[in-house]
Amino acid sequence: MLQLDGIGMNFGGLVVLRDVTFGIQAGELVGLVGPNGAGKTTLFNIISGFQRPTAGRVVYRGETVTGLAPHRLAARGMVRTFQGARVFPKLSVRECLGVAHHLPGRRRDTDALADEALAVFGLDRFADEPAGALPAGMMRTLGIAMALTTGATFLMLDEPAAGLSAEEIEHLRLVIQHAHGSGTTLCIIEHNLKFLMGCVQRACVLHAGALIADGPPDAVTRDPRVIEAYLGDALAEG
Amino acid sequence: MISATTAPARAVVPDRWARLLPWAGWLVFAALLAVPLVVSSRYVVYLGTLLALQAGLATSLNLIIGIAGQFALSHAAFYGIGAYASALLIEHAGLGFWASLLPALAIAGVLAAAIGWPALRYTGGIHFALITFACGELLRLLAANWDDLTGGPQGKRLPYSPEPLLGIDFSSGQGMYVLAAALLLLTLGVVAAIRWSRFGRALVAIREDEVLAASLGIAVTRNKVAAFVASSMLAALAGAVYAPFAGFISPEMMSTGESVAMVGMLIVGGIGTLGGPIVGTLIFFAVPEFLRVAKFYRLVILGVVIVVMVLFLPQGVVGLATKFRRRRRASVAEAS
Repeated sequence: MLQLDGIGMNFGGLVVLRDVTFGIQAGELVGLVGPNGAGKTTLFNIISGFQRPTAGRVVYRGETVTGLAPHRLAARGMVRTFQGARVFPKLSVRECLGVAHHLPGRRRDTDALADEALAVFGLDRFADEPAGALPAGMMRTLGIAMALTTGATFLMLDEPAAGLSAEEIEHLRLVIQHAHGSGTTLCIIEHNLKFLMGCVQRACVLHAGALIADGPPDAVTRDPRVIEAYLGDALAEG
Repeated sequence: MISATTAPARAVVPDRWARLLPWAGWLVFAALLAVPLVVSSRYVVYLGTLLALQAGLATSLNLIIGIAGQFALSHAAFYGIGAYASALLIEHAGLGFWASLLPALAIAGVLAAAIGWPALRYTGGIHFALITFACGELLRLLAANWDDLTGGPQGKRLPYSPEPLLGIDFSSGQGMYVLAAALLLLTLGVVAAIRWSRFGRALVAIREDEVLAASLGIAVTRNKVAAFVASSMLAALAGAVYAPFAGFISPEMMSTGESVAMVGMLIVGGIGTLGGPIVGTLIFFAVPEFLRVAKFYRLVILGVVIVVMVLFLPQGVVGLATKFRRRRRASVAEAS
């Protein structure tokens, strides 16, 4: 579904990504981990068209889409969420979902689709509340629901669990499993390794802009390079 | 089905009386619209025509500023473009008033696209405000200095009135009022239709968060330019109607001061709401007019009113009414 080919990125003299090459198959649920500053979000920005890489290319469904505008990628089914909870804070939850169903060509009745999403994601009780007034977990859920109501088939989540309570993380896990179960391919950046490793089928580890490991979660967590780069501290902390 | 683990939201019980508030407002608006048709005092008809044109202008400005969230300072310039284009087409191309409207609107639309496309590619708003300010001034200076065509800074007398249509004689004061009121209703209709369409939802999303809107598949630049073109064309239409009403146009009507005053009307009335621009126009024009204050002092009053509104009522008069409605609903919900 997605193939990254030698992606490199530098800002002036600062190298953020070097020669990142990996692919994601349709239907996969992939985690992207790495210490702060490893270049995870930059990689997301490049894939979703918000930044153009200085080297390499992004191939999506057999088409080279490097540097293509985000709205064009969204029209092709690739949607990302942002760190923190990015919603339209002044619009009601229902209005947010209506906006997300904006893409041309998807002519189904907006209200019906918004109602469906409200019910599926447990947001119906908040339907007429301003999105900015939602509890953190529901706001995160709304962000994912908005991405999915665009009709996304490839969803990229940037740190969805950061700052959530254990209960909220459990709800988030259900949301992610629901999305994956209904055929969406997912790529998730996450710092909370316990959450991520229990959730994904495959993990890719970025360290200082380079891909250092790629495989099933338990194999990756045993990789000495990964432990040295990242997991040492995280595991020590528990 | 995924169930939420957080506390349920406070139930919202609609309050019937609070819900009637906007309808009451529109009823008052309809009554006001009818006044110049019943009272045939020349002064009332003149004031009604002026207010209808200004309200139409403010309503169309609300499309780009209030709904799309892009700060345009060229609205008065497009108002003037519409007036000059229509008047010059009638004078030099031998067109009738109605026939001049379409090419005049096309000129305004092409100009707006030419200014908007480069200006709206940048996010953040300040570029767009500066570029529209500069282009608006450029157009005003063009009108003031192209003496052969526009008559220069002294302005231009216009001897024509629109040809009769549907049995209405537009050479009379009341005829022009009907035309101005029709323009206001048309503008309101267009803006309301846009607001509740897919296009309008995209504009609101862009106003709230451009990056998020783009990530959800909204073509940000294209939608912003479309809103600017539509808004500027509606301004030009108002200008084309203003020309035969006033019988005189001058580059003064294109000054940035006028554009800023319109922004002031939006702020006072309630930016982004449908009724706000009308309420703002009424407050800005009607109150000083009824107090018979000279034009000079109107801007002083305007300035004071804007400062007070921004400090105490940032959502404007209509925004206050909406807030009151929400509070009523909330208190009803708590009581039940």
